[in-house]
Amino acid sequence: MNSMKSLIHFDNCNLHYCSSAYQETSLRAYIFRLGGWKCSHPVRDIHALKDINVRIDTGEKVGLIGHNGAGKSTLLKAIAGLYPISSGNREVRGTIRSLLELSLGFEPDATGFENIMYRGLLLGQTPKQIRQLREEIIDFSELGEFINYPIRTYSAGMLVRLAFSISTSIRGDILLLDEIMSAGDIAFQQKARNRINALIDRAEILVFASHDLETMRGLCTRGLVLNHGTIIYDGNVEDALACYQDSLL
Amino acid sequence: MDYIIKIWLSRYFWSHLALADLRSRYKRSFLGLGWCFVKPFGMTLLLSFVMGHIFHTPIDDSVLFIYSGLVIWEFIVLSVLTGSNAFVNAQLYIGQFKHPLAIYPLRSVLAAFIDMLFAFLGLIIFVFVRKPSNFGMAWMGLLPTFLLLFLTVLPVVTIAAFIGVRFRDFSQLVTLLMQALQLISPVFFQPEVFYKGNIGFIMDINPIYHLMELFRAPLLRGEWASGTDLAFILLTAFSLWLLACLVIIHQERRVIFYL
Repeated sequence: MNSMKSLIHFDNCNLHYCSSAYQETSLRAYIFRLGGWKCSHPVRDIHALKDINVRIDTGEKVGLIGHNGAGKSTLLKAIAGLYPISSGNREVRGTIRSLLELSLGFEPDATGFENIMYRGLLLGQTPKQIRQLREEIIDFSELGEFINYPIRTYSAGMLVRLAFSISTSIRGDILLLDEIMSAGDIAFQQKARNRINALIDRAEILVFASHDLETMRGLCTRGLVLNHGTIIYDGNVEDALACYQDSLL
Repeated sequence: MDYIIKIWLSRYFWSHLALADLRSRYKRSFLGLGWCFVKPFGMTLLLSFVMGHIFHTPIDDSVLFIYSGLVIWEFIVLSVLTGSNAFVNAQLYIGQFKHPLAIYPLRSVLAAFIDMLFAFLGLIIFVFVRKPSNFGMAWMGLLPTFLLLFLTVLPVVTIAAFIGVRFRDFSQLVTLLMQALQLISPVFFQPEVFYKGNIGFIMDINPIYHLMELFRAPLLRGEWASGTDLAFILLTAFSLWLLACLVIIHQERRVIFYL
């Protein structure tokens, strides 16, 4: 039965952002290069994750700690399979639910009601499943009659509330969180927190990236400290937080 | 194989997106999907009037020819133009959830295909009015021909989508390419025009000519499509798929970096 359990296993994984994607490709840039003018800031491949070795088993709640640009979000996206690793072995078992960039991925001309369908389908649900969840999603988002208006008329807060309600109404074995977002007003935030906690309880694995060390202490049992794309500490969450705070001094 | 299963599993997603594309294309328009029919029809009238006077052909003969050409051509152009931006337009989805990327060009082709089916309805009504005697057994070939058309255009659009995400100039260039291609395809010029002008070889090697023949033989002449046309298209589709698979295998994982 072991094969049924969720698992994240990175074995010697490296990840590079390929530089050609960020280089200027305009005719102007090309002529400059031909003319021998050296670019003062040449763009190189960015080595975003270096020799990552980590295994996360069912039941673990793991926090990712590190400075901005340390590789936390990149690691989450690599776990989600969005970023391809350039070498090593990546094994992920279980359905992934990621709450990474929430308010993205809507069809602006479609109504909130229709967008619940699109987004639910994007997240791998069937129309039938979404119809069952729909009432509850509309309720939770507190959008009321606005649900029948096109998304482009929504305020930023309304968008986040809708996105949050949809993404959190679908459960997954592996939950990937990038900061617990400040969705809506204070009342909604409290509701959002409760909902995330419920989602975490049901998930088999949680990987949580945040700068909010208190929340991390409350949610996670294990901590990974990242620095410049390498894991510099892996262990008990308290020790990981201490390690991170030491590095700040 | 795993890849194809994943495309199938995400079928609700891409089919809904295609329908959303259609809906937003005709949103708040008075004629709505009627435009699929009105656009080529108006163009056909215009063209047959002008060409009738230039080439001194009876307008009646050319109407069906031009309409059928335009409908298929519009499908190809619309698929390729929207498809070359397929990944760019879907970047918010691609960054959120890992679906096989092939579903995004598939979405473009599907939306254009539904458009074309409506326009084709117009063509069939047209044929019944002008040439009812053309209706016969040969029309049974139409259904697989539609499928073949879809399967020939899809790999082209898939390749275009991968090029389009890597080289952003491509969507501009593709407009030019399509115009050039239209000039050397029998969209509204009869193939004979090309043969008379001693450039008939362009017809022989142009898949669009053969594709259109597969439709025009039964609809416009009441005959079965020729085996040569069919063989040519099958071979073309097969080679295009080989190429598209190679592109997918080598480029799929890099796309996210180019968005």
